[in-house]
Amino acid sequence: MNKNNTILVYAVIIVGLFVLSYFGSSYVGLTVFNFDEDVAGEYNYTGLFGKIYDFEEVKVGENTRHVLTYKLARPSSDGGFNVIKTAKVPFRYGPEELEEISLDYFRNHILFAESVYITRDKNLEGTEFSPVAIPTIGRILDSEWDSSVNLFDIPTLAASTTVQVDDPVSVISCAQSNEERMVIELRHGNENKIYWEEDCIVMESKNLDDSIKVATAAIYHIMGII
Amino acid sequence: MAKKNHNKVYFGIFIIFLMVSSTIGFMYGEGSETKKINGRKFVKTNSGWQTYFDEIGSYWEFSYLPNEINLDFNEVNFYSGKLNVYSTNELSGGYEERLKFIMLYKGIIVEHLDEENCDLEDQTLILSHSFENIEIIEENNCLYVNGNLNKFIDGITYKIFEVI
Repeated sequence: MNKNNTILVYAVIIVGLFVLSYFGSSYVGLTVFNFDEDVAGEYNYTGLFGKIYDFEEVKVGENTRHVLTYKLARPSSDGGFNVIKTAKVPFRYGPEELEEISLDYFRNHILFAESVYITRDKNLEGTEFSPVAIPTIGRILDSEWDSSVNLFDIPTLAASTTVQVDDPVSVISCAQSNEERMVIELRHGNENKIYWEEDCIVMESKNLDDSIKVATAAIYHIMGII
Repeated sequence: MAKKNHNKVYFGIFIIFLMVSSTIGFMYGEGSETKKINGRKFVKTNSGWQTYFDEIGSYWEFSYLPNEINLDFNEVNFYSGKLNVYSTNELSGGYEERLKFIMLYKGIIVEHLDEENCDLEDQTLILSHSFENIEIIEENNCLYVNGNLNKFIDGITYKIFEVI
């Protein structure tokens, strides 16, 4: 074996070992090399109830999105379960960032409602409430808002607590909430929290950005994550 | 000259063996404890035991392994699509939410009661958390669950996914 062949054999061995190590590490869930510049990393989040959810952090320009792979399972006729839908849904905030938001349990009431109204004083939209807050919830609950998500089919409508001149939006407030027609009302306040007020769910937030945070916490809760 | 080349080859094979075996060791060893119970693999984590439920395509984390539950869950049956729940103390209240979550997998809606009532049409679960072993007593239309509710919820989850 001449010197050139020896160098070639060693080079092949070293490359082979790198490839083996890469796939080996990937197999155990480690990211050694990241070939996709947009993907910042994957992580798991153990939900409040023990189920583990898969997230991917993705860079969109300057911003980070938390892309959840959500599998919707239903009992099957043989007594087991089937995953009936899978969706990849991006969120502005990951669940860990929202753990400090206190919330009362309300997910069953939304999942079994005939319809859901998400309402706010529309005059405060753009100042105290972000225009993104309501769609953050609506696009998950109702596939008509965003057909790419298509997880739940709960008819969901946006409304206002105040009459809007030249805007045919429904005027709905907490007072109209009941088991069949659940109302979620966005309110401006001193805390970020979600709580029951009689039959209505109130999402209180301190400012425009926090209204998206609280809305994200609400939808994570409905999905069973927090 | 030939002997020198042989030595190089042996040395190369030895290095390859070391690197491949350490990679395999890293892949399968991981240093984390695993247990196989009822044909299902459980991996120990910082906060409990993790297993994969193929039927829902997700991992799940438990505080207790199935063989640590110490309760015959064949005797625990929920009959209807609705279950009432009443918590006798503040410690028990937190478990209501976990119960609401897991029972949805069986299509059972859990409703909170403000006071104990065994005369309702649907079954009522009376939760009383302590750090003792679980004891279940059935009276009228009520199931009294006394003891470690964390174990009880883990047990129900295992039962729903047919682990126990």
